[in-house]
Amino acid sequence: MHSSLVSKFTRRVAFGVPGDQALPADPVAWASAQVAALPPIDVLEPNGTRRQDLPADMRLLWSMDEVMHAFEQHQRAERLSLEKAKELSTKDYQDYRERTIFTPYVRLEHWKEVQARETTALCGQAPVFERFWHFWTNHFMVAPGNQNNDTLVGPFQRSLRPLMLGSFREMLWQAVTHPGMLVYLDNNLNAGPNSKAVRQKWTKYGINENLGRELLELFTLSPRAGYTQKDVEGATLILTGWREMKPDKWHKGQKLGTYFDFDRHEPGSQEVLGKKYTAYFRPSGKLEDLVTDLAQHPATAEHLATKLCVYFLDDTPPAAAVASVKDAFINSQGDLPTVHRAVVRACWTHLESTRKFVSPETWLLQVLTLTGTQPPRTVPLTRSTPGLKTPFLLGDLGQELPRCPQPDGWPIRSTDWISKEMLDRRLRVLGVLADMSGRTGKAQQAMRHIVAGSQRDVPPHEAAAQLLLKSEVQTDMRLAWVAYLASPSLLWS
Amino acid sequence: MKRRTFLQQGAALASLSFAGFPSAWSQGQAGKPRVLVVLLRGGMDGLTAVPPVGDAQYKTIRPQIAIQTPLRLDADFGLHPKLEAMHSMWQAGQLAVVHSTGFQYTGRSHFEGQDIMQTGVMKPYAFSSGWIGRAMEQARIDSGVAISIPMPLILRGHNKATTQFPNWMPTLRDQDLAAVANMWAADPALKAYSDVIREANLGKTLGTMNNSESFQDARSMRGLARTAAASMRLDSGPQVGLIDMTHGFDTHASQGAEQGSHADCLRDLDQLMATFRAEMGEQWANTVVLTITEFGRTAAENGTTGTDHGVGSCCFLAGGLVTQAKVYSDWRGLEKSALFEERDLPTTIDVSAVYAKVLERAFALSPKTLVNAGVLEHKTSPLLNGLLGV
Repeated sequence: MHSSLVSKFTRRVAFGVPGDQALPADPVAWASAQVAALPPIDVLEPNGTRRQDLPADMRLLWSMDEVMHAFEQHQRAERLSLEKAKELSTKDYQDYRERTIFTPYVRLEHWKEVQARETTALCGQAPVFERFWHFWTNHFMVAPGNQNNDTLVGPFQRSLRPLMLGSFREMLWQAVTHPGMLVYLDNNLNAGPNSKAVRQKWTKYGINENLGRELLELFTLSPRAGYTQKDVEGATLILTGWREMKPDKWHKGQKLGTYFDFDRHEPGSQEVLGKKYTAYFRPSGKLEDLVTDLAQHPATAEHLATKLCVYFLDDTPPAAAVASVKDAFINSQGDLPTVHRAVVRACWTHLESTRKFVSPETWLLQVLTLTGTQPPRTVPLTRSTPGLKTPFLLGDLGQELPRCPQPDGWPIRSTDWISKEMLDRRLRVLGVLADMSGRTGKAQQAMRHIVAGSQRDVPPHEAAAQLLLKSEVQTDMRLAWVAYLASPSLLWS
Repeated sequence: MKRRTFLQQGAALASLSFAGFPSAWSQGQAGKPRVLVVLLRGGMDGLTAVPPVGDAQYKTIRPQIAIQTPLRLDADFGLHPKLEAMHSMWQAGQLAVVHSTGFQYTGRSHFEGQDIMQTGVMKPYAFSSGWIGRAMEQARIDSGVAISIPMPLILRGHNKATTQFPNWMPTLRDQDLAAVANMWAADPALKAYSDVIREANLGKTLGTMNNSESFQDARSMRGLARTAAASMRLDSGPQVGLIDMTHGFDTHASQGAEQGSHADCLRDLDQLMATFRAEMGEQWANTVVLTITEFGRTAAENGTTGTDHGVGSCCFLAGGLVTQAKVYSDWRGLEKSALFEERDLPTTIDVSAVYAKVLERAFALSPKTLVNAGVLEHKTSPLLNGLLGV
């Protein structure tokens, strides 16, 4: 087997292997081993240690207590700024908001999470695990932009990582009931019309279908399963009362994080897909039962197997690949490491007959891995801090993490990432990064990676392989980056 | 043409390179109608944008979010107060509204709905080309431009449609472009792009930012409207433009009324329209702007002073090609029994028939051709007679 195929596999299930390092001798075993344990995540140096030059208070929020405190402080700062609007001039008001809200709770929050995500992919122990994590954060999309939820996004996404070692049912349960999801899809406002809080008018809120609909449509069955509006309404009523608890003035010593508010929950029984969900003595159990049933439904296995194969293999994956992943899902009762290993095997089995034009994020991580480049690390301390920043660079490529516009996640089909503007931007980013490697003294190192990589990764008959043999290409940084990383072999994996 | 043969031809066309088109396609666009499509993703609330002031039920079912001070259209309908520029278009006879309209699709899913509004096919995820792309192909329209980074589905299916978006990154050099053309020549999915990328980098097509505007301005709705108009107003410019308003309209909670999140979205739309009118200059007389959204929202407000996914909404047509300031509607009222499934504004006019009117006026494609050639299925309505003068 030609080295370019093994190299394609390493880009398909991870981000590739630099040209001057050995490819794995047993690629399937190499990849399978990486989905068996939980790798740590942080803003890392190339040697895998935590980056030391960050501002003192810049750390990821881990415990649910600190997450909910940050969320409450952000919302309080927003309310305070409404008061300030009355007394400050427009210019002073904008500066005030910049200082008290946008810098601490939005820009820096997103920067450190994106930086942690990308440096862990590049410098962490298990890039294959990271590819699957990227899949799950896209499947259970929580994006900033609703109810000042910026500080919830990163903690939500990271909470999925340990769950990748368990069952899909457990991940579904934790994702749906995490404050990040409850706030993003408005379920914290969803109250039953016959609940005590609505009947006695403690709340002005009532039914909100946002999470109930996506639970069926995006996370589990998909519309192909043929459920109806009645099923969406049943799921929505079962979800009433599930909200977040934060340390605000209503907080009476309850545990922070997820909170089941019986006073907002719709009493009685509800129906989804013809099955009745009844409270008996534990009304919160209705959602537990619904989640269990949805996770086991054959339509869910079909939906997830297809989505995984489209994401990793091809826009139209071979039926045999989908069937093998679906079987693994059903036979293991949704054990995620088993499912991930089945995807890895399918990637290997169907390597030659399938190809994938990956998302800008995955492609950028491949580019950085294959050239030995660190992601642009400028900390955006103010709105106008000069220098390249990873989230903005991803935005220029058409995927501004974490700002996914819709709850169905970033597109997973190749055709959605190919347009004149998108291709032009990938080419120009190569020029920008090549220039950056010159400024940071990494030009020669990157060139060694590129020359070795191009002979290994590009089949000899391709134009790019021949181009990179020419001395005028090997001495022109920008041209060499373009010739290697924009070759069809490297654009597809 | 049957749909199946059309699909086969579409596949064949997709593999052609840009250089492969007959020269008749390169004739100038001077004097030909211009169409700007604005995608309003998330589901625009038709009852907020164009409140039915003549309907007694309106304020009853929307106690907290009804528009109290609309701009006047006629005895039955008003316009949201943030749509000031569009109101001036109405006064000039250049704004038409179709109300209680939508697709023959009632699934209430954003993603299925956004697929359907772009493919024009009522079965979700069944087509990989858009109805405007197919119409451009059928009418041999020379070029179209999406002010967007990805190519929106609605313009796919036409090889001369391209994308453009404000960009700060330095251009590529001759030798980089030559290497790209060389490498991509053998890849059918990529080779079509090396020529257009070359033209953009060598400054042969219009730049997307002028020097005086900031990057942030350039990416606002006003900036995108300027970018679209900068090429569309030229005699040789594209006949079709597209602007994608990607977020905001999905207001499940606290959507507001005169002020608030839905109002902010409408303000952006109004600024887009005002800028586009100003920048098109004389070409405005020869232009129609069409808004498209995937569905409307529930007629009554929900429990969180917002609205959930519904069915019918309204559709705007603006520009010099509009012949009459008029609200086209078969209004059934907001009584519960008149609503779709007792909750949503019903679809009383197939919105695909509105799109068909636009294609008929702008591309001279008859309704019969649209159906027979598999461009756009639609259910014509006599209520739309005279819309755009066709």
